[in-house]
Order: sequence, then structure tokens, then C-alpha cells
Amino acid sequence: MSVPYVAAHRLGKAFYGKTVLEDVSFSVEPGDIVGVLGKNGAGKTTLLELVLGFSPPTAGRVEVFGHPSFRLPGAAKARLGFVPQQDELVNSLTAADQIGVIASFYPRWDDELINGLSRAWEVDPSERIKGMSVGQRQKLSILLALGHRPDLLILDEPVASLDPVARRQFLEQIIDVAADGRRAVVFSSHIVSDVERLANKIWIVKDHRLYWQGDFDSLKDSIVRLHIRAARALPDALAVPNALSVQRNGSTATVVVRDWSDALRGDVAERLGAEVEVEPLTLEDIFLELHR
Amino acid sequence: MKAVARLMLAYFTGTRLLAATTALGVVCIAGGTAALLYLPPLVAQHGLPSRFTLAQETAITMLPVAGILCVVFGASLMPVVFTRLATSHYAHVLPYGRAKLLLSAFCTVAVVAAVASGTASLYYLQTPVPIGLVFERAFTVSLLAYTLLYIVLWFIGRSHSIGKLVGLAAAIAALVLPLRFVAAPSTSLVGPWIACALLWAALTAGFLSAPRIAPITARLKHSLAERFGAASYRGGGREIDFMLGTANPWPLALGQIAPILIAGYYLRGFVPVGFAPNDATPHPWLFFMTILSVVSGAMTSVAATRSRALWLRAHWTREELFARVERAFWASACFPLGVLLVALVVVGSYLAMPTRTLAFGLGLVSVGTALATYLGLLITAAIGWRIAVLAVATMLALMIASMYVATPATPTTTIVALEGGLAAAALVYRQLAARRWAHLDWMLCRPDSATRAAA
Repeated sequence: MSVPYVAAHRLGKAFYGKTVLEDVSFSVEPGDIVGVLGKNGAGKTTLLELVLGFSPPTAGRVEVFGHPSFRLPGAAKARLGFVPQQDELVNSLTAADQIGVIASFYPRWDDELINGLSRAWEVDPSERIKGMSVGQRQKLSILLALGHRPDLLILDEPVASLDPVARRQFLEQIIDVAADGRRAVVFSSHIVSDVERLANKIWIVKDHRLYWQGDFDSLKDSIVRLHIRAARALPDALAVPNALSVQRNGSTATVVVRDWSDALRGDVAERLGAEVEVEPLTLEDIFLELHR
Repeated sequence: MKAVARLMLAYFTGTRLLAATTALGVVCIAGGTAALLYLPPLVAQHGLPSRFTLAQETAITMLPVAGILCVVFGASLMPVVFTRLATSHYAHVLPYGRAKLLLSAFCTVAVVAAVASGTASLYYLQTPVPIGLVFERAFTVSLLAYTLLYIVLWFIGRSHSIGKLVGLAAAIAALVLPLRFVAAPSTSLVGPWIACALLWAALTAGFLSAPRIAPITARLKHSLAERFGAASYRGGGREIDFMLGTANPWPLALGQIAPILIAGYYLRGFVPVGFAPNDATPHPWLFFMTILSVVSGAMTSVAATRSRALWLRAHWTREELFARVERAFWASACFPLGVLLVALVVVGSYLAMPTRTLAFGLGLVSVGTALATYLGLLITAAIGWRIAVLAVATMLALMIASMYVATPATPTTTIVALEGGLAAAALVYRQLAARRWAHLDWMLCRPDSATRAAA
């Protein structure tokens, strides 16, 4: 059995006694494109940084390519790419110099890929970084993370500063990167539509825990909105199992439920004496319902 | 080694200005070497008959020095790039990132020290002192000195008063130590070697273990802050001074005493090449005091970015703003300048400097502060070619003037003309700065995060 690229077991992190992540377990396999969702301060960046080994966990363990992430050897780092939330470029250098410096650390570097992407993303290699716009800098940061064709690419809010065209180009590139099935991508984003379009696995971080992890279809099947219509007024307590939110209006109600299965539909309809219509939710709706 | 070499290339040639500075340094060193090797001995400044004028001899003597300075400052991007990469995620994500970064810094310092030592050895070609011994001594001490100097550049870049003080101390040490150890062959090299080894061992240990130490120090800081409360600003003064960072000039003013004492210790018994042991030698003192005067004046280089918030809050025109900023910085610069003048008088009296040298030295130090103050006020956007050339030319002019003032053979009229010319240059800089401020483009003059934090 092959070793997963990332394996975390009961991972936890606290800063000065304040819990930021608690009891988080997951794995990332080759071919995975994982979208990480969560509100501000939910612990997404901490989660990604623990995977990268920037800081030791206060509980549990996380391994990358079979090594503890906090003690990642150089050979493993050469298989890793990372785009931070805020770029960390050297203002005084030109884009070409910055690329040259970063490229020199890796045993292999795909100049053709970087030149092609630079042209496509309109990043001028001769331009000095301090003169670049925020979007240009973000594109350059992404280029720097792609040049060595990493097996595991981790991106923290990579598209926040990009315009829609650049965002689409970037997403296509990510799909290309992961298309060969040997690579994996983990990225966090507030743009839920991008996650929906791109990810084949979703992690939702809520209240410092991994509230949901699984493929997108399972998530859509699991969390649904029920439209309940009865001939007479519905009871005060609807008693729908795993309800996340309930809105009642006399004989009708709208309920968002978690862990839904079609087998429950008849049971609910019979108990309430009502018609139950199931509405699948978009990822954005699911995210909003979970954080209502 | 590929990454180390690429990083070093970026340090020396990362910007067009630095690439040109490094190239200029190489040309100056090559030209100076040829001049010292193939031209007749330079003796005019000792009052002996020479084939050259005093000005020509001074220029030939200073050429390799200027070359060394250019090479040293040609690599001044090293602290910037190093700090940026070391404090970013790259240090962790890049394969062997920390080790390669540290190695690139060490190799850069070693290359600069080797160039400086090789060039310094040239001055001893026509003396009985063995060149190999001179190089060995110069290299040992230069390695230590330039390590300190680049730490200085990093501290100065952070724009804190404490950083400036440490910077001053290290700059003096960097410039004085090699002279001391080369000029006094009996001095043991064990001390500098141990110091150098300890310094690099500490840097290596601290840098490589930073990821492990960081959580511990963060916890310690947090518990200290909880126990004693967070640090608070205890300064006073007007709002304009607070925003410009001129509210409390005393730390910088009094802090200058430390590097002067260090210089005093190392310059004890120091005799430049070609001077008799009993000669009064004000050259190094005037040289260092002039450099100190420039550093204290150069604080104005952050004035424009720090004034942005003032302009947004106060209803002043750009002209009014310039006048107030100029006044605030002069009020602040008077303290370090006063301390420098007193120190020069004390040193001059102790060394029994000729009254004329001391009097003109006081004038030169004052003019140095004025030049640096207005040169700093000229910086209203990124440092471009013109400002850089002006700054280098000004520094060279001040250094040459200090040599002239310290040389007894220099006619008084020459010194008056030199200092008068420098004072006139300061006035011209003031006019240029006032004109720049009248058309100050705030979009080109945004404070970076460090400056914002400091301001």
C-alpha cells in the first residue's frame, strides 16, 4: 500500500493556551485536490502551516511523504510547493532574479513551464517586484511554487488578489498539475465557487475542528434543504433528525439537515403527515448553513 | 552550491545600482592597484618632494579605498535578501533553505573580506612588512569586521534608534579593527579569530535552530508580557516629533559615546603607514567623526515617508510641511552633533591636535551633518541613480576633505575653499529638497510596513 502524501492523526495546536485546532485527522493521497473552507480565524492557515511543518503540533502528529512535518528532510521539501497568503517576495529584485534565486534551490526546475506561464499570466520577468501590482505579485508567487513541479502543492488563499481571468487561468493550471494522478493539491479559499469547481475533496474547518471531510458529492448528498408542506399547522417541535436550521411558517417549514439519506424521507413525511421535497444545496449554501 | 552562488550573484547585482557599484568597485581596485604598483611612491602628504600634487596623491591613495567601499556596499542587498528569505516561509519550504542561506551570507562576507584585505595589503608593497603577513592579519580582522558591518546594515535598515546605535558601534569597529591589527604587527590574532568563530557559531546555531527556539521564546515573551504588562511608549514631545521619530534624540546623541570609546581604544598608538610614531595623527579621528556626523544626519532619509501621515492629518501645504520637518530634524540633530563636537574637542585636546586642524575639523563635522540632513530630505521616493551618485560623491568629498583638513601641509585657503564648497553644496541640496517637497508625490512615497510600525 502506498504512503499517503499527508497523514495527520488527532492533530492539535494551541497558542498560549488558546486552542486553534483540535483533534484533526485526515490524509491526502496522490490525485487529491482538497479545498479547505472555513470562516476567518477558523484555523485553516494553522492547519496548512502544521502540514508544512512551520510549527510543531501541540497534540497528535502529521507526516508528509512519511516524515514528521516538523523535521522534513531536504529531499522531501523538494517535492513540496507552497504559496503563502501574503507574498514573500524580495522587493528589490526583478521577477527573473527572484525566479532564478528560488529555482537554484531545486534539483530540477521546469523553465519551459515557467516561461509559458509567465507569458500567459502576463508576468514580465524584467519588471522589478516593488513595481508590481498585488495581483502580479500573487501570480509570481504561484509561479515560484509550480516551477519544480511539486508532488504536493499547498496554497493558502492563492486567488484572493487575482482578477477573474487570472483566477480561471490559475484554476486550469491547478487542474493540469493534478491531472496526472501523481500529484496532490491542498488549497484554502474564501471563493466557494472556485472550490466547488476545482476540488474533489472538501475539508470544512469549523470551531477549530475538521467539521467535514470527504468528496464533494457526498457533502452535497449529506447536507440538503427540506421543504415540508402539511395540510394543517406543523407541530412546534418538528423533530427532524440532525437539523442544522429550521424556519417554520404555519403549515410549511424549511429545514436544513446534515447526514441526510433518502431512506429518511419517508420516515419524516410519515411522522409529520406532510410532503417533503429535497433540495440539493450549492457549496456556498452549505457553507452558509453550517455557519448560520 | 548552485543556490549559494545564485544568492551571492543576487546580493552583488540584484539591482542595477548595486551591479554598477560593484563594477565600479572592481574598476577602482584594479586602477588603484596599478597606480600603487607602477607609480612612484606617494610621499607628498608627509611634506617630502613628490612628482605628484597633494590632490593627485590623495586621489591615488583613496582610489582603492573607494573601491573597497564600493564592493562592500555593492553587497548591501545581502542583509535585505537574507532577512526577507530567512523570516519568510521560504526558509522552511526550500530544500536545505536555512543552511544554504547562511552559507551564502558567510561566503559573501568572506569574498568581501578577501577583496578588502588583498587591496589593503597593496599599501604595504613598498614597505619592509611581509605582504603575506599583512594579508593574513587584514583578512582575519576584516572577516570579523565585515560580519559586524553587514549586521549593522541590517540594524540600520530596521530604522530603530537602538539599531542605529548598534549600527554605529559596529561600523566604527568594522572600520577601525583592520587598521589596528594590520598596523600593529605585535598584536595577537587569537582574539579576532576567537571572536569571529564565536560570532559565526552563534549566528549559525541561532539561525539553524530558530524554528525550534521560536515557540519557546514566544512562550517566554508571552508569559513575561502577562506578568509585567506589555511595553508602552514612554516618550514625550509634540505630535510631529512623535510621528517623525525625533521626539527623543538623547539615545542617539549619548549612544555615540560608545563607538567613540571603542575607536579610542583601538586607535591607541595607531600610526598610519608612512608616519613616524610620535607624529600627531588626526586623520583616522577626523575620518570617523565625519562618518558619524553623516550617520546622525542621515536620519532624515525616512522623513518623507513618515510625513505622509502628518500631511493627511494636518492642514499644511507641502511647503509648510517641509519647513516644519526640517525644523524638527534639525532640533533633533543638534543633540548628536553637539555631542560629536564636544567629543572631537576632547579627543583633539588629548591628542594635542593643532588648533587649526581642530577648528576646521569642527566645521567639517557640522557641514557633514548638514549635507546628510539635506541629502536625506532629498529622498522623497525610491533612491534613484541621481540620489545614489550624489550620496557617493558627497561621502567621497567628505572623506577627502577630512584627509586634507588633517594634513598639516594643506594650505588654509584650500581647506576654507573645501569646507566652503561643501557648505554651499548643503545649501544647494536644501534648495533642491525644498523644491522636491513642493511637488511631493505621496503615491511614490508610501511607508513600508516596518516604517509604519516604527512611526
